[in-house]
Amino acid sequence: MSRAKLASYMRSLNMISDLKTFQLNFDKRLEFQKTAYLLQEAGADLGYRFGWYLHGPYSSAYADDTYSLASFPKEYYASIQEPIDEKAVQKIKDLLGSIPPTKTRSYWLELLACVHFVKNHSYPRVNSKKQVVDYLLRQKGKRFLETDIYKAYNLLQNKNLLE
Amino acid sequence: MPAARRRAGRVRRKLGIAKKIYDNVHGYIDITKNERLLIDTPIFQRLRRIAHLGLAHYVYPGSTHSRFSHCLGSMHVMHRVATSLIDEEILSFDDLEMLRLAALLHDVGHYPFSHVLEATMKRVHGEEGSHENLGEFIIRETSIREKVNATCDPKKIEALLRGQFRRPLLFQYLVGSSLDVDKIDYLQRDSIHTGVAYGAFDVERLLSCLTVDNPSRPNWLVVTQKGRQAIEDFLLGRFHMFQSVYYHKAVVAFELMLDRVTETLILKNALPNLAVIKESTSANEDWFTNYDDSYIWNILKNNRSGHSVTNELIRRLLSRQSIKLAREILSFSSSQPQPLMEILAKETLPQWLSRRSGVPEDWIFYKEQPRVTFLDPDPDVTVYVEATEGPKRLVEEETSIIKKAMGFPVPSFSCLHAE
Repeated sequence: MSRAKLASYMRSLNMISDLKTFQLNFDKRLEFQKTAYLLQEAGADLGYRFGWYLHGPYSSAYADDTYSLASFPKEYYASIQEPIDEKAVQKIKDLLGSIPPTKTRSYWLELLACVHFVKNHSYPRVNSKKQVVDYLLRQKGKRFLETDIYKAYNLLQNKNLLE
Repeated sequence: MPAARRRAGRVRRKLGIAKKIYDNVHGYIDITKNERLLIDTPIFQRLRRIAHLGLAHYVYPGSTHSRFSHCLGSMHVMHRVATSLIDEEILSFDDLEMLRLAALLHDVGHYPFSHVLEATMKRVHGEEGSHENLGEFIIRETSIREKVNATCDPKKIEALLRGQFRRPLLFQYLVGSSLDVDKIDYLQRDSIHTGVAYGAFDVERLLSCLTVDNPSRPNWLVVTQKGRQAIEDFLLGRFHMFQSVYYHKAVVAFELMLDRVTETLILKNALPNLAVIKESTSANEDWFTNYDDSYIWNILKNNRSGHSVTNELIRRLLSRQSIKLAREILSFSSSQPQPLMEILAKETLPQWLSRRSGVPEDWIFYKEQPRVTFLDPDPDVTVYVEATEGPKRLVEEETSIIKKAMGFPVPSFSCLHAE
């Protein structure tokens, strides 16, 4: 996928201004990664391959493209005319709008992406909500509360993002 | 005999080494009976006819090495890393067998000319066109599956290569990180075959200085303090290889020409798209065996396309006449002259160059290069070093050359080639 297309998706989700702090701020990079993952899963034709790591789904190719875009001046973004999948963008906007006000945005995005990946893609396969919660508690219990994992699962399910 | 050598001997005996293959990078590479059966399949042998560096041999004549030797080399590196972790009782013998196979098969789905045609396929098909995706298909749908099955569940290999393996996370790090076995092999291999010395590093030192963050639940490899110079040399070498070889302007020019030709021919159904590749392979896997660099060259040589640009590009590819670099835009930084930004607001870079130079847009070739950096700093894929308070990211080490180097601006750049 071209950087222009990615930039076009970022513009639609109001992420451009955050690119300024992207390089120095890990939480911001984490938010970008998880938003891109969820956006792709919602149907956007981003074309990245996300693998499973300790902080959840991650794509090095996406990181490279985002670092490149971070160095572009804001005039560049105004010039882009690449078409995007509006339905997928709206789905993610709805999801982001439903994130509980407690804790940080990066916390919830990481949790949502992790729940989604474990349920839909991970190996060995998990079939139930309980299995997803148990695995994430074991793997990331220090980071996520059990009640929050359930909340994230229900949120994704309500938005039709889980298999 | 030293204890480490005795332990290595025990592992080799348990694996049941059936054959040794001499490799010019690593020396003897041991293979088991089951691996030998897999390597001897026509589908795996096909990798001998896939150039590891696409068209880089047009610039560096020695770089005619293949995906075949790289896959064997990656398996060898994986073996060395994994056996040292078996010594520390972090990995099991079953893990070793699975990891060896994953490394051996990680590139089995590469297209002819490796990343050149893959870039075309990804543009046409999105992520579905990646070599990893085709590799999964090959492992799932061809006789490779039965050969893998003799050692472990093929689903495990597919999941590992897709990045979906959940536990331990270390496995994912070994196949997809800043210090994965693929990079450890290709850097040395490409350096030796191109003759570009920057890629050389002390691999023995590096491999002997690896451990993990948490032995009971390993997530990452960790380089001990004794391996600091080796890992820094490895990262600097990789950066310089990108600058000197992988993004060499003439290599990029030839690859852009091939990319344009193959895309045109795919869209005209003169070359197979992904659906045709999968259907043809499912119907008869010999078809895939023949889908190699020569397959593409033959189609190019026999091309009867009425498209004049395609015909001329093929003629030039066959006679090694490259298009010329017209402009390289090293950065879109804020110090970029304002006029360029004004141009971008009105037209694309190729349109602009076409208008300025009078060269038709058909003859403008444009590529956005991915960012090249010393090291990805993000925790999941970065390099860790041992420290008194526990493993630490290399980019946090005050005395690290890489930390200092990360401070330098490393621009992404775009190339415009034209006739």
